[in-house]
Amino acid sequence: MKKGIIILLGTLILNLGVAHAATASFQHNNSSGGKGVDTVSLSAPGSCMVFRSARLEFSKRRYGSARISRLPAAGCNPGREQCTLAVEWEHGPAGGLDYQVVADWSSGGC
Amino acid sequence: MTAGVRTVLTRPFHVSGWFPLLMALAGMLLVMVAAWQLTGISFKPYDALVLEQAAFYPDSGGVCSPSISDSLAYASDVPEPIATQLLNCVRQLGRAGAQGREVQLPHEWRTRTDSFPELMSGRGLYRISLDLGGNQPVLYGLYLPAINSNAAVFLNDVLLGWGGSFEQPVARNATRPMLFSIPAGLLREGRNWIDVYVVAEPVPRGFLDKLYLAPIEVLEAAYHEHGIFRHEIPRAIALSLLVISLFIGVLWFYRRRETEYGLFALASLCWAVNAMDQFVVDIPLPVFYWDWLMMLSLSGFVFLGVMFVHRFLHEAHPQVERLMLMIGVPVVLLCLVLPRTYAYLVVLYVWNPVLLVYGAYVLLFILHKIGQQYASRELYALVLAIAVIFIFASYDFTVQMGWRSQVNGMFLHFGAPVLMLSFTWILLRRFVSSLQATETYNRKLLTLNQELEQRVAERGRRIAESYETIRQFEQREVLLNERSRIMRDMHDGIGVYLTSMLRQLDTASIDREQLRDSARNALNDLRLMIDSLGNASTDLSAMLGMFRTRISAVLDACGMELEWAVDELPQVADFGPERALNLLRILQEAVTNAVKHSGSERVSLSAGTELQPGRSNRIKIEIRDNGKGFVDERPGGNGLKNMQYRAKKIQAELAVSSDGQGTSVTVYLPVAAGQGDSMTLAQSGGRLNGVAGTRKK
Repeated sequence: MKKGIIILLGTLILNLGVAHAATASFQHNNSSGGKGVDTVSLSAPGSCMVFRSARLEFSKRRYGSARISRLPAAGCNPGREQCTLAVEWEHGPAGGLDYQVVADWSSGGC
Repeated sequence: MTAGVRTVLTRPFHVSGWFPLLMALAGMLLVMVAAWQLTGISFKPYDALVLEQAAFYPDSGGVCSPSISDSLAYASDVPEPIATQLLNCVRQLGRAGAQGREVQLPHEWRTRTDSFPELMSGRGLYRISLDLGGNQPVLYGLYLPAINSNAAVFLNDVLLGWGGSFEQPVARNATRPMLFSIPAGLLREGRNWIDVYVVAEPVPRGFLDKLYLAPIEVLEAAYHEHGIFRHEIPRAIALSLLVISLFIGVLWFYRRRETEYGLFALASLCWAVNAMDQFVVDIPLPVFYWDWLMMLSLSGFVFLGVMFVHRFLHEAHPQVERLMLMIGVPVVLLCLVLPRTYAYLVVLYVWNPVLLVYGAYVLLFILHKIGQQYASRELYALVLAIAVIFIFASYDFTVQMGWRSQVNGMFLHFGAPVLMLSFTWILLRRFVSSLQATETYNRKLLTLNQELEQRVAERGRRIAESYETIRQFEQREVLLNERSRIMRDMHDGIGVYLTSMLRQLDTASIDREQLRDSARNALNDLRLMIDSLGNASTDLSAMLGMFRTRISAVLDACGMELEWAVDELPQVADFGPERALNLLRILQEAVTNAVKHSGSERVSLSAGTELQPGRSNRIKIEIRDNGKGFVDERPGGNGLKNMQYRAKKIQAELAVSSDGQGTSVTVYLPVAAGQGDSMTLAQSGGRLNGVAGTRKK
């Protein structure tokens, strides 16, 4: 019990000042299969927020895969520069992919 | 069928007449909707790539062999394997018909024969191009849900598989889905070619359904479900029909008077044969004869079904049945001898509609009976089953006529489980009803038995009372008769002597000697009467013993010797007081005559049983004296006449003989039935020797 409370508090402290934001969603459902690269220009959820990290969240992943092939530099500030992210994807016939790019932002850009 | 079961069958449904009819119609409507939904069942795997466009190359030039021998697979010398033959065939077809015609799948040949006259060869190639954008991450498969009759499938010129024999008669896969797995790496990114070589027999039934490409794990699950629905369930239905046919056939064997069971068994057998068309892949006959057999079995099922319904409802319609046979038998036989093309046309446009009309007749016939308030629960179950069958049959008819696609198959056989359930329920209900009726009858029988036993006991008591009354009446009658007899005997015996004495007393000169004789005679007769009424009156031996006592005194007084020789004697028939008295009087008269007239010194009395071969035995009683005898009866003497009269009265024979050595009087009495026949030889010998009971005085 005590240990659980410590972990919870620690997580809250670490996440203090961190924001999560879904940047873009993609669907690839070509019955003949397919592959390609999705490019996303990131935008901050608020002012003074800088890019920290990004990940993919799949709502459908059948006989295919996707991975982030290129990330903007850590601390990239969309207000000052272009923060671009690239995702390589591929699925076979009768497969499909539905995913969204979720970026983590942190304050301190101002 | 027992009367009880018939009662159950014809018992009216105790609800308003229209309500059950409406319920039946609503049930039929429900079944119709369900059937419609059922016919829409098709193969729909999740997210599969559906291939609906193809280029079609009919084998108009006879590029491919009409029959590719299966025996190659087992031959020792195989110059060219089946796979190679098929591949060559496909390649040549592809080259020959470079400009294949674009067709949409499912593609049915019967509707295209006008625009594709070359289809009449019964062989064709479907070429499908497939542009893939991604790699093959898992093992893939190609699925053919329905095809008629047989197919071989190639991917990028590699044979994936085929559906069975290409030798005549080719394998029939109309209801057998086919799944081919694609070897890893064969499916490549970019342009792929799928070639499906199809052989149809007969040609109008040829078709190819859509193809599906998907990971094998996706196709596998759907393939199993679809295969069970299209192929395994019909097999189970046919087997069930066969089993129920045997079961009902055995039932009919034990109850042959109920022909409806026999007809149902035969109809089920016909249907089982017909259902084989839905799952038999390699048929054992040429296709034409197989199709004729299917037509025959379907016709038999319909005919026997109509006859069954007639008998089940106890409605004889021999004219209808005769008309059906008069139409059906020639048509069925005609189809066997007609050229194939015409035979198929006759079946399609003439015979199938006729069978459908027969089905409608059966349905309307039962509905008509329901409308006549003749309905029972059994009838409702039957009409529901027949309605389902009729709906499926109607659907199949639309398929055969080309109004609906044949890729979803036929559905008539799906009506069989409903009929089997319905009829099983009817049989079960009849069985339970019979059981309950038997138990009820047994209880009633038990009660009736108890009542009957009480009645029998009561009747027995009354009969005993009646017998007692009759016995009392008989006793009274016997008593009255005995009184009358005694009075008569007294009147004829002692009365005569007393009257004689009175007359003598009335005369001037009294003959004392004569008076004494009369008085003695009267006394003797009285003694005889008393003896005849005693306990010994029914026992001859005892009675003779008493007689011996009476005469001994007389003979002693006269100085005469008595020789007595009496054996053990059997019962005399109907020997009683009356016969005893008459016998005693005869013997008394004989002894008196011997005493008075013979002048003898000795009188002998012998009695015994006389054996008569071939006749009933008799008792012989003889009184003999050694006197002077007599020549003839004195004029006016009544002694012998009286003796004869008395002997006749007691059904005895009397023999009197006399010579210079003495006189013999013999009486023969009949022995009672069953008495004296078993007389022993010792007894007989004792009597002949005359040693028993000799007394000399």
